[in-house]
Amino acid sequence: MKKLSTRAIYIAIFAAIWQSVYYLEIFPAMLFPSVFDIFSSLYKELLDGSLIIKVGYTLYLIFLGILVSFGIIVVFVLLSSLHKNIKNYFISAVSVLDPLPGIALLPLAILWFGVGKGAIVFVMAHSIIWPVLLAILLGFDSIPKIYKEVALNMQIPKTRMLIDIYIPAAMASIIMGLKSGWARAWRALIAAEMIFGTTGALGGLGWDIYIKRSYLDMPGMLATLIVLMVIGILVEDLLFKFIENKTIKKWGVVS
Amino acid sequence: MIRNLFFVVVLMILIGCDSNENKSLRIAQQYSTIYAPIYVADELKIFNEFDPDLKIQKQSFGGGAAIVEALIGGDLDMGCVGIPPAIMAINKGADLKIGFGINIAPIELMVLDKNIKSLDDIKPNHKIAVPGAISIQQMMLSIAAMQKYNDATKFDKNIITMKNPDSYTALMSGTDIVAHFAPMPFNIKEKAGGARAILNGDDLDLRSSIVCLVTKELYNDTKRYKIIKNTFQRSIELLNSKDKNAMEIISKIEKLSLAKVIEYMDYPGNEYTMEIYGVKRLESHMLQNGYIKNKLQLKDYFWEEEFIALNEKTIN
Repeated sequence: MKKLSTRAIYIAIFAAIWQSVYYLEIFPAMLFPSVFDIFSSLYKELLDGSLIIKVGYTLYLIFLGILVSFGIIVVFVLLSSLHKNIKNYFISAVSVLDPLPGIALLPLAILWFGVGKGAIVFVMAHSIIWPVLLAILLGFDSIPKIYKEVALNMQIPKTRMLIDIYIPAAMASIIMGLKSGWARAWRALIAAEMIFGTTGALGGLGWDIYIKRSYLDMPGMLATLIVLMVIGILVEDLLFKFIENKTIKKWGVVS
Repeated sequence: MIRNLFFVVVLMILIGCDSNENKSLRIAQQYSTIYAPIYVADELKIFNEFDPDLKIQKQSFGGGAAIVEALIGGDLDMGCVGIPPAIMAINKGADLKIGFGINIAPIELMVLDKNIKSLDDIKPNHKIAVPGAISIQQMMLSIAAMQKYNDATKFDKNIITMKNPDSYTALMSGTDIVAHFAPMPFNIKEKAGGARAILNGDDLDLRSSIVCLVTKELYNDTKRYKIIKNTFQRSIELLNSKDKNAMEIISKIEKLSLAKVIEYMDYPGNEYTMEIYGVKRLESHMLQNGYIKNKLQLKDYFWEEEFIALNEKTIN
């Protein structure tokens, strides 16, 4: 609660500075609208429901991206558990592919998957898979040897070893990977949507920014940016906190 | 003492910079043959034939929207864009007007699929690439849809915005993009690769210029503005007379053979001119279909009387 009120104070200070800059006319009003215009644009879009649709579409795309990525990650993790060389191969793959920004692959993705969901999901999957895969593999590596030895001694089957020992023990680094995967996928999605989109059909928040920019609708564009920030904060503060509380904190992995 | 001297030096440098500022022109650097009047004028230093002290500061931008933003933000004195983005900016209240035109570009809707013979054959799952929202291409498609089907938004769900080079690759490699509304030189390249045009400006009786948006400050600086107009006039004359130096510059910048450059220059519909066409027609279409909200007078769009008169006369 305290954190929330501190944040509210920071936001209020920022809004006051913004509004002062607007009144001082340091920048042209067309490019630097007043806080009231931004919020009235936000309110209008909330009221007519168009914002909910755009947020819904963006979240749907990111969900799709995460689903596909996790499918692939599970396969990679299982494969790497088969042999040390396969695992090393994946670790090398991560070091080669991870630095490539997803958005740089977009032209290729368009050629392979066409324009549309396919290309965007590909770019997102690329952004998610490598950091999460690395976090999982390194997380497994960092498990104290004694855990594995005890499990082997007790002749626990491999699947139970994975579920009861490997995943809980590596959960802290898996969550770190998830956080970085989410952050990168989110950026990749918004960036991809800003590069290509369909004018009349359903579009997400990145596309909304692009269109509003073309229409020189700065209050609308800034309103969408606020929505992006709010979603980012909600995922970080609520979703990841919830997962952490239900897992690593509950299990006592971290305090 | 030394510190005081240092401040004096800094002050002098700053004053020096300031006086240079008045002698400079900040323009958007743009490539593709339709913008040839800009880079030919720059490379051949035509600006300096009229004013030896004028410095040209060039900046690159990602597209028309960024150029308009830079003009509004005071980072540019002049930038050339298609008519719809120019109308959008002026209609929204930007302190800019159209100075003059540089080119009337042939823009064609190119398809590769032999089964697509006209707009009638465009199916809901077909994608049509245009370079941007509020681009001349989007407006042409919307005018065509209005004329043919009485529904300006008919193809909105088919339109996909992508940069021209990406659209070219996508069309030629047979992805789900079946059509590209291509400006020169992409239409010529696509034709060479077997694509055909199913719609162009002539079909819509629309000639649409590439126009230079000019800030109030630049226009009010009469001497400097006259130099700029004279420069563009000269550059356009050189292009129209296919001056060897001008052709060589295009060949160098666009990485084309001289023969190809001449072929591009002679392409039907390609015309370098300062005259401006299409504002009235496009404004009324944009207004009718809700792209813009305010009905303005032609004098709100142009700095100079001659262009108001010209656009007053022309239907399109």
